[in-house]
Amino acid sequence: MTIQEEKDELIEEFEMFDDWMDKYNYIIEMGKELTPLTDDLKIKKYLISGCQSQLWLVADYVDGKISFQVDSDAIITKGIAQVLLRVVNNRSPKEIVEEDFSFLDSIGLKEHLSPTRSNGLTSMIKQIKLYALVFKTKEQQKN
Amino acid sequence: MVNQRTKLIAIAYISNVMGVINPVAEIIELAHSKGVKVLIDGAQATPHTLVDVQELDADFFVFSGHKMYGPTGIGVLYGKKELLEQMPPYQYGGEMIDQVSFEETTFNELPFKFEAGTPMIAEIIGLSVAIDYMQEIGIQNIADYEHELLEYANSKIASIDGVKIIGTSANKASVISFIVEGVHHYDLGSLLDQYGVAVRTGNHCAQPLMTRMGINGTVRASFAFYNTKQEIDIFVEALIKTLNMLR
Repeated sequence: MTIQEEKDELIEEFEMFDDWMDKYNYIIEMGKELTPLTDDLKIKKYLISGCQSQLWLVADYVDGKISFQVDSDAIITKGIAQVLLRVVNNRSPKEIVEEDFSFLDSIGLKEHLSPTRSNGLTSMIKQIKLYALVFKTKEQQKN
Repeated sequence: MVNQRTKLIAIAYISNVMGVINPVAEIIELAHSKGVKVLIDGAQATPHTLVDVQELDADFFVFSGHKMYGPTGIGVLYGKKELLEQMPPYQYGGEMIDQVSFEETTFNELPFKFEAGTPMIAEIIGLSVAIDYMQEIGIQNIADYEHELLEYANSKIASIDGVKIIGTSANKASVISFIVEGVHHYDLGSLLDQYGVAVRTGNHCAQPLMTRMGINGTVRASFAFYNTKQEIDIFVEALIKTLNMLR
């Protein structure tokens, strides 16, 4: 599935919900689906600051694609992280660097992007982009 | 904790986290017996209780406008006149000087010495009106009504399975901080917000207290005199529904 197809699918999934409660239930379910990080990865090095909940993000670069692992002690934060991961996981650094994440508006998660929300979504996007930029730069230096 | 090196004790009158009303009169008496000055942070006290700085014998007392229905960006520092007279200006500007020459500069009298430059006129007028408004209602009436709301909410929240109230002093102002076993405060706050219920979540700018209590944050419901029992019913109902979603 391309990055665009994945985003379209997410938008379609969220369009099914008539009220916020169903939407949140879905986010909570997604959070529960997320594979928890092992304790050795829940360390300060991977902790993202700027959120009320603790949020860890780990990135690996294999064969030109970045794979992310994420975990949080708050279930809604985990669910929102899973939404992001469906779009950015196993993509090339270039695709992630160029992604503007405006699809979050379409699925009604824009309110979570407010800096005062402190749920880490803004910090998480920034960190995902930083990882992508680093891997992209490293790749360019190799060539 | 008080020894010969102690110069000043600065303490909150009421905890913004737990609502506990600290025995500041006793603390001031103890400090004074050892020659120590006391600054009371009354930001949470002025909106909820009658305060008499002279009766308390506080050396300094501070509070902020926006906590008592006034404008943001304004606060008050009260200090005993003899102490303020001994203190040098902390900021220089218009209105705070008396005579200036190359040989000597003298400063204006209190309170101008500490109010350099153009004051924040609109905010001062706004705060004054807010205080008049509170006095018109009667601060004791506000305190009594808020206490009634607190007791009503307390009995309802305490009966919910898994809820633990943080700060159960008999002598407390109208806030209830709580945690729920197995549920993160951020998740609770996010969903309560969707129900239109405004609570504060997190460490409430009191991280050392959270560490001491061995918790990572609380959900805090605060009641003001404009709240009603009906609103508490709505809050409790939303809390129960929210917990059903999260547990």
